[in-house]
Amino acid sequence: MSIDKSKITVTQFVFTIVCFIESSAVLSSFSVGISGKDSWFTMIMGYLVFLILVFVISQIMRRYPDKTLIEINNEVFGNVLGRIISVFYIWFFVTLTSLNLLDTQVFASSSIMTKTPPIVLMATFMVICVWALRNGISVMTRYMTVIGLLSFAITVFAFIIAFQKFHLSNLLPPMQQKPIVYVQASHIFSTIPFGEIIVFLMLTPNVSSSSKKYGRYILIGTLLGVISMLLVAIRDIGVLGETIKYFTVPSLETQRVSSISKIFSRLEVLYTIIFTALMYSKIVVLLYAATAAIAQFFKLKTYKNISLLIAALCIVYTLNLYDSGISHGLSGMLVVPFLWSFIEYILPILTLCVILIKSKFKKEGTENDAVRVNGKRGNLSLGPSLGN
Amino acid sequence: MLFALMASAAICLLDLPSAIRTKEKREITIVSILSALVIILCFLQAFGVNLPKLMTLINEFFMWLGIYYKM
Repeated sequence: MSIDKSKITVTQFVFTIVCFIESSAVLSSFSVGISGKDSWFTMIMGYLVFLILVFVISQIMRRYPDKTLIEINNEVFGNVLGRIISVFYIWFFVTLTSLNLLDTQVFASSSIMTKTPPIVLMATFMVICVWALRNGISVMTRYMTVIGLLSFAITVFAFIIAFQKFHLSNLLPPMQQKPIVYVQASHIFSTIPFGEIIVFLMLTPNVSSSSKKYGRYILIGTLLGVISMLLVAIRDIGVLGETIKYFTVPSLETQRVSSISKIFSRLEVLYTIIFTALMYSKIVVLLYAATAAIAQFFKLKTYKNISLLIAALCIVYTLNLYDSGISHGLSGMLVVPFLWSFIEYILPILTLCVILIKSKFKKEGTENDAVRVNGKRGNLSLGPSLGN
Repeated sequence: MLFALMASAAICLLDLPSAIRTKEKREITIVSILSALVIILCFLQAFGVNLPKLMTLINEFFMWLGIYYKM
């Protein structure tokens, strides 16, 4: 049973996924810093690996359409082990919210509001997210379609604008690096933007759909998101070339250098607007997942009573995540993919395995019971005939 | 400090009253404990107490285990 009774349409659900993936374009710097001009390829490879998770999530969603991830854990693993696994997920949701908040703050502090104290930026952003959150999931996701379409339109527009500075030679020659580079970059892509989709297991009961084709919805949403990300990656590589490795936010730099004569210049403002909107869409979903998961963990009636305090916790946590920006960058490149793989891939696969084993035993048990009952009936019917 | 004060005020004026309005003992207790913890954390941050950098610690732990990509 969902902790929020309001429902969202399939379109809202799909576009929430689109926004969630598109917003991760800024995080591509972790893998772009490794694979450079071959990032488009590693992105596709990462997406192909991610399809395993889409299958696992859709199977779990199909079997438990009315339950959230926390409830599924309790049902599948039992009360004790289920709660231990839920703690991992709760920590993951809170950490992910804080990490994305940190990225938003770093971006805003370095490019648009350089003199505003970071805490003011974060607090303002979180107040808006909590405001949306307290109105329920339906209100929260209402503008996702608009944000998703607007973002796609701006990406295409920016691609056209940047075409003058686009050099196909920057993408050539492909596949000249060591194989481990491709493995590492694909691993990062499969965990950092794509694998985070696991958070949508907290939203399943709120989707009002009669067909329950969750796998298809996730696939459409992520495919639209990844097409947009690919466009951004190819544009940035084509414009910046090998220097792409040295920028924290390559898209912003691409838009800075792009212009059509002197009329259409300083177009990075478009990027900052859409980036802020996309980050809102991602953080609000993550904050909802974190708040709803904590509320369900403590068996609270509503998540709204703890929304502000979780937001405040995320702000304090954001300030205490890393020693420095370098530590953050290195962590994203070297360690986090392994840590996230455990939570995003291994735990859901384990959950699905347990579900399948349990259902098999249940089926066998039911069949044995049926045989036993039939046997008894057979004996009963045999009795009189023997008597005859 | 201003953030700590504002966060505490917001929690005390919005989250706690809504929990009290439910009139359920469990709800009020849990929300109060969580609120107290978060407010303490906010003030520790405000007073400049060095809280552990969790992700840095996890990084070091993974590197100690040897589970990371070598550059």
